Amino acid sequence: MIAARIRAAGSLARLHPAGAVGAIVLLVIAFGAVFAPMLAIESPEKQQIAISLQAPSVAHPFGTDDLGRDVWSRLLYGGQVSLGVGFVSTILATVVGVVGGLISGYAGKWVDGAIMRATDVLLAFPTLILAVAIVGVLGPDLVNATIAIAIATLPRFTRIIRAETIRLRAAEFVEAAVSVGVPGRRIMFRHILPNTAGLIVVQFALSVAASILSEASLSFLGLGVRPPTPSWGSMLRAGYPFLALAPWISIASGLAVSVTVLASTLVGDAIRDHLDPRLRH
Amino acid sequence: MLTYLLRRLALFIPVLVLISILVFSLLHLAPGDPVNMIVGEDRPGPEVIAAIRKEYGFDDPLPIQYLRWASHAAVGDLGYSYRSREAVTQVVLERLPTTVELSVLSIAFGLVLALPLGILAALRRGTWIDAVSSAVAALGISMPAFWIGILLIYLFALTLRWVPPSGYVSPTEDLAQNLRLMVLPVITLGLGYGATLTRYVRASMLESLGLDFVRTARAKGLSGAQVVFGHVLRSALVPIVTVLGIETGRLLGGAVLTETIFALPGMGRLAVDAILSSDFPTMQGAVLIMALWVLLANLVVDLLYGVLDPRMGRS
Repeated sequence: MIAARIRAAGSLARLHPAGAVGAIVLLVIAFGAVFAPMLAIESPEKQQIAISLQAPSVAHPFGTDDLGRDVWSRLLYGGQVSLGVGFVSTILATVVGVVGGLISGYAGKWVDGAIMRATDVLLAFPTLILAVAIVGVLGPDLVNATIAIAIATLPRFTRIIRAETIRLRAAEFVEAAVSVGVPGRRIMFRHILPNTAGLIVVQFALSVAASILSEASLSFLGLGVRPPTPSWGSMLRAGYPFLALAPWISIASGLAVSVTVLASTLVGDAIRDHLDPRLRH
Repeated sequence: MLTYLLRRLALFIPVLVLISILVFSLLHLAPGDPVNMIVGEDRPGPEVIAAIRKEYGFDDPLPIQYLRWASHAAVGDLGYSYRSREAVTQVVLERLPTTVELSVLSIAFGLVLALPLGILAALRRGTWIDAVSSAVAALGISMPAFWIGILLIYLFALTLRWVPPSGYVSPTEDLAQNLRLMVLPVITLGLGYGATLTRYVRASMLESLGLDFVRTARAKGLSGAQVVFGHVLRSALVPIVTVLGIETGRLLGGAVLTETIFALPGMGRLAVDAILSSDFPTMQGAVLIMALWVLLANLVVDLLYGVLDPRMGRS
């Protein structure tokens, strides 16, 4: 059983080598974030002004920041924030967006019109500007940043699922269900929803990378985590005034964001290619 | 063509109204009394608070407040900043040219990068040129603007000392210095944009290369260059123009980050600073103008679409 699973994973990896590399990198980063308490050298918030802005050494492999905190430990804990917000906000967006799309596509008429105008409005705002505005209203902190990113992401899910729902509503198996009197809610969630699973997985995989990027951007702008909690974006924000003196702070956190986003994009692209070859460019 | 134009405009107006409602609501969705944001840390007596409520019209029903705000906004009056007391319209007009300059130069840079890379990749599909172009595109898409900017500052400003790390001079004051200071921001913003465009140019070219009229053009003996530039590129341009519209939003988001890194006094920086100081009228003004910008860009693209592909206008 396990051997068969491994063989299946192996053949998948041969089909999508870039996606496999991305998945491995992402797993390593997730491992670092989950086991941060064990892998960290010291508390990410422990300040030692006496050793501030020290270059990488054996004691501090990625150096120290302006408050003498260990950059390696902050990177590990920062990964919890970046990956956590990336996944939680995408899950929120998926749930709300998919339900909205199902209702919009199935109900039609004015319900559809209202939901579609709402997504038009959300899509008219650049993702980051919308997230910035929402955080501006709710106040800058991590929970609000998560909600803001979710709101900015969900119209894409709504659009995609609505289009698919409209297509499936005309399918024979749905017509059959309607003709025998299956209630609308059951048709939406039991008959149509399972048939959109592939699209949802693809959009989810592609959105995670974008959400991780949005969290880093918000934190970089000072609209995400509150200090002293580390996040890669806030480390970059705090580190870049010291770019000439201590480039390792910015380079470590910037690389962490870029590698994570690149890895998630590769995984997302591979999932898309595998599930829906029509979308391949 | 005229009906097509009118239909686009008919869709544009309700979305614009809904956007203005959302932007207006931002202030009232925020927890707490807006008066507290105006007075800030001072704790004035109840009569002062009542006077402020009256002055800003906070006691009126929300629809009345919206209509007042929207009718003022429609004639170009976006209210006054809670912090500096300046007219928001004035501040926005001062900041807008910087963001426009940054965006236009970045779009140009992105096109200069994407057109040759994308076209070459499509013509040499499956070769190392295609692989390099795809790798550059993937890298450019994954690197956040702030990270590209910081790398560029480290390399070209701090290490090689070719250009100043950040700062801004108005082009009317000193055009040469303005352009020198804009080099790194434009590369920062244009690189990610160009990377995204490269993918679309390649895909769009590949699609056009497979069409019947290309085979006809080849069959009647046109040279490779004539086919590519006379036929393929023209039909490939339609989706590319669409992408220019779709990507406007992301470009503006990147501009916010770029302006922050390079200390450019633009619209994005204005919006973020307004949020950090709870200056709602300024934030509403900046967000409204940016949303309007995206909406207009998409309208222009839709109209261009009609020109580039006459079939669109007739359907």
